[in-house]
Amino acid sequence: MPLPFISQISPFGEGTWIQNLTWYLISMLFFMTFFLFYNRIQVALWLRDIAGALNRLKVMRDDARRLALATINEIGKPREDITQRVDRFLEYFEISPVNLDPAGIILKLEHLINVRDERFKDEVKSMAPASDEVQLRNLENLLEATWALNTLYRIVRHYYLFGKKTMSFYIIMQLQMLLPIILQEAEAFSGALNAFANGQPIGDGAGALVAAKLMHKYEKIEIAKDIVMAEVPLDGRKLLTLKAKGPGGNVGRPGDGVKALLEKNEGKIAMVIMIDAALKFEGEKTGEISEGIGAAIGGEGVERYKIEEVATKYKVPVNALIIKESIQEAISPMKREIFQAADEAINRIRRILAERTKEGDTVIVAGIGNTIGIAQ
Amino acid sequence: MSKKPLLGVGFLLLIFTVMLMLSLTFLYLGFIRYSTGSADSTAYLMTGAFGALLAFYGIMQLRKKTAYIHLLNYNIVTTSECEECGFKSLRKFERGDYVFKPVDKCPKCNKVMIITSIHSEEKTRKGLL
Repeated sequence: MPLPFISQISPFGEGTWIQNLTWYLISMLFFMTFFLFYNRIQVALWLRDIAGALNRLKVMRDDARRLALATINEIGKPREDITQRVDRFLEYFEISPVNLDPAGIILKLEHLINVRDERFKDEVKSMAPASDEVQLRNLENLLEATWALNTLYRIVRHYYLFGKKTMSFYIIMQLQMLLPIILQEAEAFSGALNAFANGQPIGDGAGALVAAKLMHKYEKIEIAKDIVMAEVPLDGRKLLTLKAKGPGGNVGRPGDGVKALLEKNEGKIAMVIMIDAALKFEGEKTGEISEGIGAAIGGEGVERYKIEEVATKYKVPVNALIIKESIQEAISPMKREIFQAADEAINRIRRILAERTKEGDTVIVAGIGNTIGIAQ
Repeated sequence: MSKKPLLGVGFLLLIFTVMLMLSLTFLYLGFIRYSTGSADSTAYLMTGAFGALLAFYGIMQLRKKTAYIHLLNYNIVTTSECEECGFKSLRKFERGDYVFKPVDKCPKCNKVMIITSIHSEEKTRKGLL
């Protein structure tokens, strides 16, 4: 049974002229709305998306700040209120060296990193006077993760407000399209906070764990800043195994360590094997190990430069073993698969030694990564 | 953040809702005309179907959130092991634990045990956001 009113409507020419005209006008209105305002509607939808993500980033940043303050107060027993100092730390910035004339930029970058490290260390020390060396390192890592979250929030907020102010289709579109990557990174930092606050090993420490397993029970000496080394006999070879000094959150200066060992041995080293955590591609399994050549080490490039320089000088081959994981896994508490991969990495080292070196050779094994929660 | 967006969610929702209602009207008219054997029923049905799809898509876009990566909920397990007899003990992580830290005495041989592993185990997913 047709509804009496609606069945009178006839937009396709069967009704009265006033009905037809009304329908024609309504159709035109909708057509023109979508034709003229399609971009604005799309931009409004994107802005809504970005606003949601921004709120999420703000929550993560605020949680991180709260956790940092609570942990410093709990562990460091500051003598005064540190809220303002932490807020000041979160706004910290550094200016990269000018790269118009790239000659000597590595030295400048290294100097900048040294200054930054010292500054961070001093800041944390004065904020948390009661903490020991290991706790200081962990607090430093915690504050760095909080700083990273704050920086991400500020950058996204800047482009959101700027895009809204200018109604620039391209700024808003790019920001919206980058959101999944930005949020993935933010959530990785967010997941890392508890690990840093409690001193738990993180995925990035996979390389350091391999070296720690090798050098455990052997005598260790400090050969460079925050780098420990032990001579480990393995399958008739002498392994000069090095890693960052744990168990505080620390990556050390492995470049200086490798350089010191190569120079001390006057280049009489059969090979350098570097083990590090590396980002996997989507679809790859966490904890898988790949072999390659070259200096397996991340960061700004200063440490890699040093290793490449000294290895080239003495013509020593550099082999790399990487343990695959996602960005989230790299700075979250170490997963079982990554922990188990350390034993597999040692088996791979043994195979490389058997295939490419002979008995009596000396080999440098460098375990790279943040050694938080991993001693030696 | 304080400025209101150019086209508010309420306004967009109104547009899409009106569009959906019009489309449903067209579909209704199309069915009536189809049942009476009218030749223009196809035009009504097509217009109604396309309009409804477009309006539905718009409303879904308003509801949609960016596909964020889920936050994982971890259980951190500390494993300590006796290097003499191989006795293993598992417990929840406590602040201050680290790999190769000497801990309690082995209940079997009374030698000092060391922490051999600290790893996370995924508890539950908080869901896709």
